[in-house]
Amino acid sequence: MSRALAALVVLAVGAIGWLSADSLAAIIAPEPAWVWDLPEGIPAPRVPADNPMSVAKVELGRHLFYDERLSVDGDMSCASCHEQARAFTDGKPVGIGTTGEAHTRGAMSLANVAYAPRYTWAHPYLDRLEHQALAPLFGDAPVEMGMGDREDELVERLTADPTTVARFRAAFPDDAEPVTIPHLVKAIAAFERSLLSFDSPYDRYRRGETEALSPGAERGMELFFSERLECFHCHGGPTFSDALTHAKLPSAEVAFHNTGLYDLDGNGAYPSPNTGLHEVTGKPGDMGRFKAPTLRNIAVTAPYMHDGSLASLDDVLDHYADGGRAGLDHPLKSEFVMGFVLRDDERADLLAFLHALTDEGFLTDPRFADPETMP
Amino acid sequence: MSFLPLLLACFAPTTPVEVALSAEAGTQPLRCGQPVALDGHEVVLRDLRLYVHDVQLVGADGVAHDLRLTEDDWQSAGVALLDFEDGCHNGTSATNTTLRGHTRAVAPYQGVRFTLGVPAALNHADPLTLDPPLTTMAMHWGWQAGFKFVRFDYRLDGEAARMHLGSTGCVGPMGSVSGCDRANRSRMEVPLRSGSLAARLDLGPALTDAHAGAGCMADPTDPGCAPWLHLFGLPTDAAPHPVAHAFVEAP
Repeated sequence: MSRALAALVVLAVGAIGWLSADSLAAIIAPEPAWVWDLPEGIPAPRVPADNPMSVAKVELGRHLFYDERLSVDGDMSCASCHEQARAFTDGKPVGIGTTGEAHTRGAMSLANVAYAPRYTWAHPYLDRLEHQALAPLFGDAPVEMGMGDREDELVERLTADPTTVARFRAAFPDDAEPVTIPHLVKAIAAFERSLLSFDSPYDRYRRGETEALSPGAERGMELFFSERLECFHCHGGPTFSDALTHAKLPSAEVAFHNTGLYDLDGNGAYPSPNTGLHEVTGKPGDMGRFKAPTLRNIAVTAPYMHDGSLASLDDVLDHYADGGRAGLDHPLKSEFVMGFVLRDDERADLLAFLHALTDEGFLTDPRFADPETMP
Repeated sequence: MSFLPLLLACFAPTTPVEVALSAEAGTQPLRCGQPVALDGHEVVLRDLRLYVHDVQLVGADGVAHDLRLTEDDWQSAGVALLDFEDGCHNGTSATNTTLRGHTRAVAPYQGVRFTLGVPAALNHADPLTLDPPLTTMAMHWGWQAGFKFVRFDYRLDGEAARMHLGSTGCVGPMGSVSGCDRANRSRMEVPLRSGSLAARLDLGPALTDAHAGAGCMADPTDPGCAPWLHLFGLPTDAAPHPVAHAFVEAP
């Protein structure tokens, strides 16, 4: 043993004397680097430089996502509106906050949410999950989790629990003050980015398992990707949404569409204040423009559209077959919503394909589940 | 000792100053949760908070000097959060109704000036990186990538309404906004009565408007916003050239 190495060993042994068991474990077994669990051909998500992924951070985020201490009445967590079994939606037309106040829009699926270039149903610039999380936590119009003005109380609640503090410390080891609001939203965002859903029957079919799709679903797939129906223009790509960003895309693809759901005044007006992109920009041409939601797991995320105004996938197909339920001559409607005629057997095939986008593994994956029931 | 006045002028000492602000409707004080009768209407304040910056005092000689705000949890980087609610409905129990600082202005002061709002650089910064008083998420206005400059939640004749004012039509994500269609920062200038370092914020003129019950989210096309934008001296689509505001007055 060289003298230098011996000195190191002495130093290390000496250090063990005052190191806590936790930090000792960290030295002996350094945390594994984050690895994206992605099938071939699916690019990695883009992650903000100031919030790198880590196993400890995602685990903290999972606990916080299911933690009802994050709501003012202690009866609501992120998971209250984002249930794993429903691909992280809640089955309601619009979200209902902890005080009973109704949102104007429904809870969106979080499947592959890391690939969304913009967040919420319609915002031209909201590009980080860390910032999106502030709205349900602290927002007042409407009240969702109702923690506005209770930032200190929230930090106190979490700090009073040594297990939670230890999780924050493991996720943010370089920070003297681990339990903070910025760390809280960063951890939740990291957990949300880990919610990958790329293992539906359709994905297995694409990977060569030809039996994964029924003959009807296979015919439905051809209809879906046809110019006759135009579905894929807005619901294309790995997430079945044309609003897309990922590590191999130099510039995010940002898209919002008016599907002709409303026309209150003959000029294309949507019910105020829920007017889509227009609500933020104030531009008349942005009236009714919303993000195309992912179609992955779409069979389990009813009801549909931003306000849950269509109850079933059948209703959605009716809406698009009509070229938009507000009428074919809607002045602001997307050029891809032109209407089509669908035979009954074709409708059944298309529905079979949409059902083949359900990723059962994603809906039951213990890594995404409530740590209370799935530690 | 004839050079002493000159010396004093060169090294003019700054004087500690505290400007007291009150929220009123007409001539009656608005207190959190307490009904006030106003022209046949009943008004209840539930939340009133506002940011101000660029605070100046006009001295006896007519010259305006900065009021350099003392740094604390309510005042930082020249921005102050005024808080007239005490948690009677939601909100915080703490209140803050004064502007505290030092000035070179010469007493007795003739006036106080300030800009309603948060300066652009701080307003559009990433909210996860800011310090008090810009850590109050209840004052953040995420969908406009900035802060509410004024938050007034109230009940008018039993109906809940809210008036939130901030910059709108802002382009870019939080942390890198390139500009806004409407900055909605309003400069307030109010003469002070000699010897009195107090000003009243009078919400009455807007609350007696026929549209006051509708509330306002700073939309210049919204009739519900007209009385509020008018009160703050800001343009609306119907009145693109605002007249002098009546919001801040001497007591």
